[in-house]
Amino acid sequence: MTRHRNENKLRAALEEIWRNTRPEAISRLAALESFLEKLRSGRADDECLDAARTAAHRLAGVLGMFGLEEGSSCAAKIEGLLWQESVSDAVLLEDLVHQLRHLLEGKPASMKTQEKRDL
Amino acid sequence: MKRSKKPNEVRVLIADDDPIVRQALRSVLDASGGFQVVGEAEDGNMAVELVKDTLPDVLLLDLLMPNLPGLETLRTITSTGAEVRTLLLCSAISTKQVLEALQLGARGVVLKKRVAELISAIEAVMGGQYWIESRNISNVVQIVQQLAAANPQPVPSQSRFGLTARETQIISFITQGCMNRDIANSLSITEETVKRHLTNIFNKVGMSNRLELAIFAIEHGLVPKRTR
Repeated sequence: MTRHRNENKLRAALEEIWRNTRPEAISRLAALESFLEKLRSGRADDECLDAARTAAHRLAGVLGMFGLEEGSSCAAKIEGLLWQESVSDAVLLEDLVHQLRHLLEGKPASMKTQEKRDL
Repeated sequence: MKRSKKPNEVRVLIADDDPIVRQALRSVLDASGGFQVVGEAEDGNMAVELVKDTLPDVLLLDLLMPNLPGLETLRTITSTGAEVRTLLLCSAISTKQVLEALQLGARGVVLKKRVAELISAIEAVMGGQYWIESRNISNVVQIVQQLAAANPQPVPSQSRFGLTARETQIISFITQGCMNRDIANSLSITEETVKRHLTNIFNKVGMSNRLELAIFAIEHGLVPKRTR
């Protein structure tokens, strides 16, 4: 089998996995939004911070794997903010989380284009 | 349990804390054919145990995992003498981490966003080569060179390993990525002589290939700092 045909098979396999796992990936945003909510109300603790860091880290990895570079980059920026000594820029964090949700939930056609380009 | 392997099938262990990533990797391997996923580990400690239990040919190891991080996992696995070929998986990695991983026994690095290259990477390490972001072994030596240039080395300490001045000279060429022919021409000796020197060097320092030797030389200050 040629390398080209192999790569097409891999792309098809990854696209199918992404279709099946996208809801789970989107659900990870909840940890980020929960942390934001607690941050706004001054109730953010280490536990919810850890959960948010894990969610951001996993999203950065998994979105990159599925060719969603923009989403991966956004998640990586969020992770970077969450690892700062104190999350000083809550506005930027909130913007990034909203942007990430928008990227994951909206415009599937453009995501498809990215998948083709990046995989 | 141990090995139950079909002919020519590569046995792969997946270690990543993210179940979606594990599923994606498994699917990629299944779709490609010729691979048997012998286990999945969700943290470093589990990866160490599963390497012992399943004796995989290849370990796909996430760099950042809970409990025992990827490089520490790699260090532990290497210390057990396991013959598994480890490919690190990561979203991003620094040159320093790449070098550290190679020193700890990794055979390559695959970025998650380049997972389509996974099969080529596995084929490369199964063939005895290294795989760094689609690059071949000569690029790995370049990484070693960069690190050597960036980090001042102490006075060469060849005497610790019983190396002769000529052998130290040859090691210096190796860390620069030179081939036997280049070394032979530079030193006005034959390629056969270079090979004999290399064999002696490998025996003295306990390395088995040029990349390991280059990394070892940088690590132990066996070559003088390069002047630019």
